[in-house]
Amino acid sequence: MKAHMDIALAITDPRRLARLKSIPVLDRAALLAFLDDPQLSELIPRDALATHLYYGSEYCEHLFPDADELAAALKQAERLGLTFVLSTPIANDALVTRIAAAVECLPAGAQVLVNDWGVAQVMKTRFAQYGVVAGRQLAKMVKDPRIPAPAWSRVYPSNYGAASYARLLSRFGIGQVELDVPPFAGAAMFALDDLDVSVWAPYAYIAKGRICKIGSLGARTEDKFAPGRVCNRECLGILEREPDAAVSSLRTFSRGTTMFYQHDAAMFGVVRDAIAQGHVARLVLSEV
Amino acid sequence: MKITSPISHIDEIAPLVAAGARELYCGVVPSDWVAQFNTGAVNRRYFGNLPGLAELEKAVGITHALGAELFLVLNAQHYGAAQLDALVALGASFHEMGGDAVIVADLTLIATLREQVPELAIHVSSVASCRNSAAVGLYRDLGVRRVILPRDVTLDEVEAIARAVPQLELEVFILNDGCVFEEGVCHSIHLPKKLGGPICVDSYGFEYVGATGNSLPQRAQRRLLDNDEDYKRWLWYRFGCGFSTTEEGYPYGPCGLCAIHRLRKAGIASIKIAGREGPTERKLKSVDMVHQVLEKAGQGADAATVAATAVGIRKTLTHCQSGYMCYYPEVRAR
Repeated sequence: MKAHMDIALAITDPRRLARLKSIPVLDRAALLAFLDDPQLSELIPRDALATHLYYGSEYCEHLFPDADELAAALKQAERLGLTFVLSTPIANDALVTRIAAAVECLPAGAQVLVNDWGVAQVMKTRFAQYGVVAGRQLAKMVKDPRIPAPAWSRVYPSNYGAASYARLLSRFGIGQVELDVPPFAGAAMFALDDLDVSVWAPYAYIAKGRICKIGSLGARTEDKFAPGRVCNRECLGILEREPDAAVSSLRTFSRGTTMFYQHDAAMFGVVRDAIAQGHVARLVLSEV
Repeated sequence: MKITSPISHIDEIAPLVAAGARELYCGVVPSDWVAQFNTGAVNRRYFGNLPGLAELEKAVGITHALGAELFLVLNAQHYGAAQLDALVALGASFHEMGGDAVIVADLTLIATLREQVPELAIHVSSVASCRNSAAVGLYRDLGVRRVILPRDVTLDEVEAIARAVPQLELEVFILNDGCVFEEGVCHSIHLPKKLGGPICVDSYGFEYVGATGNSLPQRAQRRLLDNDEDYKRWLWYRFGCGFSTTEEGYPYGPCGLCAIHRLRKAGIASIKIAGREGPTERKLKSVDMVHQVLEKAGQGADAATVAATAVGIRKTLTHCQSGYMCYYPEVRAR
């Protein structure tokens, strides 16, 4: 039973980070205003203060912060009294090098969110002084918003609850795993014996790729839709969304390389119950 | 450099080896798996599997008699705790049959197999999304034999990994069956068509909005719609050009043949043809194409000649020049 729940705000866009400058204290009211999602009031305790700031990208090498962006984020975290968490994606060699350079700038007590076993290995061998949390791309589960019944999730059972998975994470010095709320979830899915659990709300990622439709907007036709190409971070200014949940009961979005769904009322209830039952060590709040 | 081809039936083995494949991979659904776990999903594909262990053992025998190797896929992204023991037992059985390696994505399963069946060779599946040297080094230190890189890597990235971790075999995609997302981090299911099919081509009626939910200017909307049209074309290529073929039966679809010269120079151990569920003829023609280009490269032809050989097989320059049919578009015909 978790006596105290961390509350984290996750940001990827430098312009959204800049909005934090006008916030003196990241309390419940400030979080709700920043995220502009009244339903989150169900999840954030009345006297809550944010404890962590996540900055970076879990989904795209092009969105990983440069030195100036990282410095700005670290400054905001320090000003607001937040523990900094650097969010990192699956990486090629060049990005692993950038991640390592970024980690060298982190203050004591910071954490790194990893979604790549290679990055986890680098953290273990070179930066063991920093805390590491296992991201949602390392905690696998079926999150297809279209599945019509719970039985479809059991086609491929999740792995994150297995004792062997916790042992594997412990080899990397990882004791905390981040989870989404899948369709047909119950609060018990967050009750892990051997790991602390973060839960993300109110968006879950469904799938991510390396080919970016919107990132190809400025490319010549024949050069579009390929890895390793430069982009202008178009995804930070343009979002695809369903006007209403039409394909499934979960309203779905596409930002850059990644598809997300938004929690419905039932999922909010699951998270609320999981928090009440003490299963959630950290609640991570984000925009889509 | 060897050709790795999928099989879904033992009758495919001999003709595929005759066509030039030296490595084959297959899946199996043991007869008690469905009853025990209430799912037929032993690996990443629900279909295209051998029907049982007896057939698997026959497949090993036939493959070896022809001088080739057979690998077994245990490559679901994740397995539940209850399934791990059964998978270790399956891996051990395969090893006892003489099977050459298992292809695995779940790191927990890899670690468990290394502990409990240490003689069994492991290839890390492309579903593990391993595309940096640190990760490949981790797998090397775990004792795997090979890492299969995922789709959507550049040749520079492949070469960098090959240089950094020369002790480990690398395998890369060469033909067929593209995936829109990274297979290892797609948490959707290829549902039956009546439930929507793959999520990447389901009928989402997205609208474009700005960062604050605002409408976008008309000019931006037009550019986005033009880009969408280009994307639809790319999707058509990614899904095998509607699974179309030339008159001779050579399949269109994701292709890396022009990169064979560079891949050989980089020391890549094997090049992978995807599509276990595809028809036999598609597999045969795929192996034939790869073999033709590999032979040309093996004769010492330069990169341009190898690429010309590749393009010349299907004689459809427009597809090659589009840039959308290429696994490695940086070396496409222009």
